[in-house]
Amino acid sequence: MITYFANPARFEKSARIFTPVFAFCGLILWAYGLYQALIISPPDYQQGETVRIMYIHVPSAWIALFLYTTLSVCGVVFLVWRHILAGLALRAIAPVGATMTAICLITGSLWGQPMWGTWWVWDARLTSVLILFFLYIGIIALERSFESRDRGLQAASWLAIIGFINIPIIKFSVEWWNTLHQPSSISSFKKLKDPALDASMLEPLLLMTAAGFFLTGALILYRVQTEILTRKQDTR
Amino acid sequence: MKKFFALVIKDIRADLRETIKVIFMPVYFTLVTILFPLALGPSTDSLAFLAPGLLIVLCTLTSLIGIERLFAQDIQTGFLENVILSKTSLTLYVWACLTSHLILAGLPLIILSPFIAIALGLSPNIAFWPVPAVLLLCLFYLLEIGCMIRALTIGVAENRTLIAILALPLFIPALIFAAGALHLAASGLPYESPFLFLGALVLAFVVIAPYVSAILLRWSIRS
Repeated sequence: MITYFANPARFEKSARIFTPVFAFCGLILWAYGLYQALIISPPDYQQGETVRIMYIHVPSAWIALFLYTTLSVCGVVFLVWRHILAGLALRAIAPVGATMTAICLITGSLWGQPMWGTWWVWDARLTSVLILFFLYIGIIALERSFESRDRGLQAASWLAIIGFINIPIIKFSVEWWNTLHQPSSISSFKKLKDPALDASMLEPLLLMTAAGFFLTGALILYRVQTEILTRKQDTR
Repeated sequence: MKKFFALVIKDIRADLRETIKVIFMPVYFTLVTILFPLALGPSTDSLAFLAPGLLIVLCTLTSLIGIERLFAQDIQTGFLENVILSKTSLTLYVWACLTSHLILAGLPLIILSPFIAIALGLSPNIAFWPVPAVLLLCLFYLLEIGCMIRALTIGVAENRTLIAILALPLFIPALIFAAGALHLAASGLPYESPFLFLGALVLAFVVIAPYVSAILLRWSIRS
């Protein structure tokens, strides 16, 4: 299955079909999720209406972390098997991941103002997400600073792998220097059955997360398509 | 082992020939120290409170200058290509580079650091024991990370800013533990746990960094 899609031409053909499908699913889920999140779900008994920021903030944080992991996997695949699709995916994912991290930081800041009374605190978790943002920026910058495109991709893959040590640091930092940020309410799939979050809030959160994954998936597929077409044009 | 020492001595000799470049780092270190009292006010109390953090930030910024210079001479003279072609292990070569760099660029800073610490208002009984040791470990870690980044960016023409952008986020774990240790020491508390964490990071990367850098060097030079 994976080897089937590993052919760039075949991938491009199937991506052409999947991109609108993903975008369509994402938009519908997003509309329904937003309706649930903004209108149906109850305000929090402590945080009031501002809790609705969570429905954007938390999915974007999850997606940002997920995309970084994907980026590193792409880096490994590109370096080990020298498969061009992995390199193109890395190039396509990096700016999307950076944007997601930025959304997470901005919404977090907007949420922090009414809740903590400050736009920004130097808490371990906030700081590590900011570091994640700069890791993304570093990868994008390194990838673009080589004259040869392939070498840029290889260098970026290496950096993605070296930077991957940051992900466990983010994870552990919450437990090490937990200061102001609330501990995560949904920590594992086991807890998903009996979460600290009420079902009326969990449902829109999961809907928004699914929508986010579909939309970023569509965006990334679209970007990979563009990359493949640009390459084709350049080799012609 | 013989090869290792030969490489270290060769590096130190080559660097000592350009004496002016060797004193760049200590001079920069001291110069930036002067900026702090000027910007933050000369009150000894507030400076002493900030001193542990300032020392570590200084150390981080200064180490960036040194990282730019890693491998530079050997690339210019073609020595690196010869090492790659020869039977000498490239990992050993990177190890030797790290050692010589730590001696030439690190030691002056370590020797200078107690005096800078005292100038910033830390009490002498802290300035002479944990400060140099923490800075040594911190510098060593920064050098290990920087070595990988430097090997990665050899092919980029204007790589100075790029090295800073790529390396600084990866410096952060060491920064946290080193500053933590110094802050604890400055307030008279036991500082062993962050200090040992820092040591563990250094030891982990002593194994990883030369190996990865060797791969990256081969990759950078090949084309």
